[in-house]
Amino acid sequence: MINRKLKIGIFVLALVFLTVCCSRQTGAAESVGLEFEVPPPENSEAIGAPSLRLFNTDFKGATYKSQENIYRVAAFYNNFFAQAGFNKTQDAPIKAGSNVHRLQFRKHNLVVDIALTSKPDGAEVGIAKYMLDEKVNKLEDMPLSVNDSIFMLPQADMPGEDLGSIPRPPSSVRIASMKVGTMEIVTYTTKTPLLELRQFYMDEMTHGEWQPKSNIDMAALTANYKKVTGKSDLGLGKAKFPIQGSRNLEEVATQGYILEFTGGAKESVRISLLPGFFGRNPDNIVQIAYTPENYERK
Amino acid sequence: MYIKFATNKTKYESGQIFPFLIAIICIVIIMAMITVNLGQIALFRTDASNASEAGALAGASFMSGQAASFGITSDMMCAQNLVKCAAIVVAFLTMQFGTAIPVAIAIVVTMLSSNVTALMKAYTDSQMAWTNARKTAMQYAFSNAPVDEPRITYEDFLDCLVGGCRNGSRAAPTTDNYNAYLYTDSPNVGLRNAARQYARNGFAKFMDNSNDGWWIDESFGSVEAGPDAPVPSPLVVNGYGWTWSPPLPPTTQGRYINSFEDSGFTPAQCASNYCWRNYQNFIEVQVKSRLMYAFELVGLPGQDALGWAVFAYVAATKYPVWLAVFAWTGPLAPIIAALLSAAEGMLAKILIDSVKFGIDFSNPDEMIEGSPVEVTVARYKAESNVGLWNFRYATNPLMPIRAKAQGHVFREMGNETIAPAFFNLGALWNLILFIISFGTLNDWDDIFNTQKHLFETKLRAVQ
Repeated sequence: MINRKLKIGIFVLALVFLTVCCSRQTGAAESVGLEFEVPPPENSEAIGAPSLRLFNTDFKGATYKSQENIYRVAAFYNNFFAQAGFNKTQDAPIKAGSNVHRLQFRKHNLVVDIALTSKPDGAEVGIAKYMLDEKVNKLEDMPLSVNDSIFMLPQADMPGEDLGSIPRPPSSVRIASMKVGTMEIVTYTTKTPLLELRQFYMDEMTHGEWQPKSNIDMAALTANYKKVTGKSDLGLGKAKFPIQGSRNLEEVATQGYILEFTGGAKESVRISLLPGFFGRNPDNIVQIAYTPENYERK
Repeated sequence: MYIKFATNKTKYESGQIFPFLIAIICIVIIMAMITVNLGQIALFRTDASNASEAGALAGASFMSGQAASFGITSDMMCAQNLVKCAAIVVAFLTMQFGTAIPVAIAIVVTMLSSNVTALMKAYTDSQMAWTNARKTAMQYAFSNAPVDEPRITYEDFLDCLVGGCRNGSRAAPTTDNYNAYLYTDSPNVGLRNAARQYARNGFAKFMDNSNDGWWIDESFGSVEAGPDAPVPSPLVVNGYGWTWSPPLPPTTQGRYINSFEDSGFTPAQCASNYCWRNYQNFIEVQVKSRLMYAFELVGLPGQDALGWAVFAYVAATKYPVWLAVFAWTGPLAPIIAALLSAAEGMLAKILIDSVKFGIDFSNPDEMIEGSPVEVTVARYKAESNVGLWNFRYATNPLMPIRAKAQGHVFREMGNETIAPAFFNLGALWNLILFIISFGTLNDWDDIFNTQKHLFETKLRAVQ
């Protein structure tokens, strides 16, 4: 009889223990959001609450001026975030030789970045809260977004000139114009499909004084390359640009076309028609590289 | 009786040696004949062997020169892409992010298209190079193997001089046509031209016509060379032979004919029927080699470190720019500036990482030492009298004497490569800074290191 009561007692204790443990585990798994309150530093006054969106992430900021020096402020926040269950992920000058010290704390998705600037009469404190995917170690690793205005491709022609003797693609925007040595390179974005662009240039160029030199279908060429070499790709690299929706260069290369023309005695033109690879649903890219003197004949 | 015997004994003994002497002389003559025959066979074997080795070495030598050319191509790509790397850095340093990104895209597209076209050009070049290597190997093999075609006699010359070789009417011998025969020289233009024409044997004519005669490369452009294709893959066979043609009406004289002139086959038929093998004396040359090399685009050793250097340079330079842009956020500006300058630096690094600086063989050991030009020379000569013995060179045209040799490119110092040989990171960074500062590249010697691309040629023993 005693034995039975003892067994029941042990069972109940075990149940209570497990319940407590599970509840702690569940609590630990709770995500912390932007609503998490970060207290102002001691002896401080608020000077602003800037908010902005970068890296496709909302920054919720708060700035203070404290009469305490940065060491005391740092100690305050180290203590606070340790008690709140945050991990410290950074504690160093923001860059070598700088008087700005950076503290960073993280709990699951929530990251709190604190900039402490030493001032003669205390410290300036900037606090930014933002959410990060748990798989992402730091904000710099987040893919940029074309929704951020600073990363958007131009919607109107950038400064520079078109190439007079070579037509620009239909409905296009000139995004870059540069000169490398004797070569003039103009790059456009356009929504016109690649096959239409290919036909457009084959028609337009051959109506002029240009003679087609090569017409490379990258897909067919890559397939032949793989067949001949037994390799799985052109080796252009799998790295993607850190922009959301970007494609790697290998994918881009296998879907493009390269047209080459020669004209007059020494001119040559290479027209690269590539799918956009920068951001989500990007426009196609047309690049015209014009060389007044055919370098291959040198 | 004794006296008689004793008197004749001298005569009897003096005749004893004669049969032995005859026997010894016969043995010596037979041995001499055998020696001459064996010597001739050895000589012919040596000729075939020399021809195959000369051909293999010539083909391999051609490829070693081509390998050096690929190395220069790599160096050129390296130099051009270094300038583009510098342009990427300049774009990030001098432009606002919004402007730098389109410029960076433009540079990446330029690199992408120029790298792909360079890779494909290397493939085309390598295909043409192997074709030319086979062609060179075959030329050298033919040039080093004597076909010992009978030269036209003065009598034949006189026969053919007047009305063609088969009408039986002979021109009268004169000093003029004798000089024409000997020296292919005569004041009579017609005679001189005829003499020159006759002075050229069938082999010379055979070597003349690359389309119809000696060079029939059916493999070029039609071989499906894939990863499973044997190496060396394409095989080119060609040959030449001569024989004695019996008299044909109305002539009463036979003559020597060669497979080039009189085979009766079209060149295409000869290629498949090996018509020279129907002749009394022929040489056949087979050349095997790769169809093309397997290349890949490669970066530079230490390119990752270069990328991090660019990252640090861009991030450090752009930090104050972003700090000024986001000054309105007050004490938060340093963090935002740090994040954005780091992101910008990272984008520049990824662009630098994606640069391919040259080409290399995807498997250098297989593509260099493991890709020989293989030349097989087959010689056949029907049973014929060479004056001392009924000389046999070979009795069966299907089993000629063969000599095989493989020539290949090899790395004498062990570190030759077609990849860009530039690998000093410090110098690389200095070059980029120089280009950034002055907009041009002046010290090309650091990039073009031809010694790193100098391959040698060797013969390899063949089973």
